[in-house]
Amino acid sequence: MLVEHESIISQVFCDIMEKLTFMFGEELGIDELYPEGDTYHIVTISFSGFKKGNLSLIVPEGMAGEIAANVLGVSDTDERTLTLAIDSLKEVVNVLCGKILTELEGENPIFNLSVPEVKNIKEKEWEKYLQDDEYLAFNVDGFNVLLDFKIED
Amino acid sequence: MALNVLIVDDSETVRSVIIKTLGIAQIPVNTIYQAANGKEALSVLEEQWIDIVFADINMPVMGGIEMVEKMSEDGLLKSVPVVIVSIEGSSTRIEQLKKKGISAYIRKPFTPETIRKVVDDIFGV
Repeated sequence: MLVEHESIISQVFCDIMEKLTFMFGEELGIDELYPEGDTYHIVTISFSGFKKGNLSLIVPEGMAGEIAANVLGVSDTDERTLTLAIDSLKEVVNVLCGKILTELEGENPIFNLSVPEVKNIKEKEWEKYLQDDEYLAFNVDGFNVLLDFKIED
Repeated sequence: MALNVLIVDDSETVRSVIIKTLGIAQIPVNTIYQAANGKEALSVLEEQWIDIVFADINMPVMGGIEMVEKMSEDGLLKSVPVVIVSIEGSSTRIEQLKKKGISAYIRKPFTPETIRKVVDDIFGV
């Protein structure tokens, strides 16, 4: 992630979390994060067109259900929070990537976004991402979140 | 007049949010149909009377742009209003879509007021 993009990306992330999921985020130092459960979701979306690149978001497993409940406006125990947890997470990444591209590149260029892909990682692998200084770290309503946005040269 | 609405998006979450938002916006709805891509949507449009379509752009199998193109080739379907609901921020792409015949464009995340205004504008309320 380019240093000059960091503050814009951080601001867009917190704004989208608030408007789309009704969750509140604040940027942290990456050394302030701590393990939170055994399993994490890493969601990746790529874009092409005017420029190429990708965005990756890493969240604790439990956060996906909370996002789904908030986006859908249902309780944490509603069956849909389980069935649509990953789908909701993908939608957040989709909206986030589109908004960041507009903020960084303006409203004229055309981008084509891929379908977001999700994979699960365990705590040991998550800890490796903490060593990657490309990532921004956030606390979102008590959940630890890592975010990276790369534009290829 | 209660509307027959078709919502086209590969994300069930987004379809659910649009349904919820239509309710909050107090838009009179008769029946809501759902499709996960443009191809499924065209099948629904062949069999059901639809007053308005809300569709995403990026979907597997058939995206929203191709769906709009196919609708514009059909004498009956070309008059059905299509509202694109997408994360696309490109004014160039939005202009292209308007030339292809879409009625309106809503950018995610959206509010009930936005949906209400678009529906009111389309139906001249």
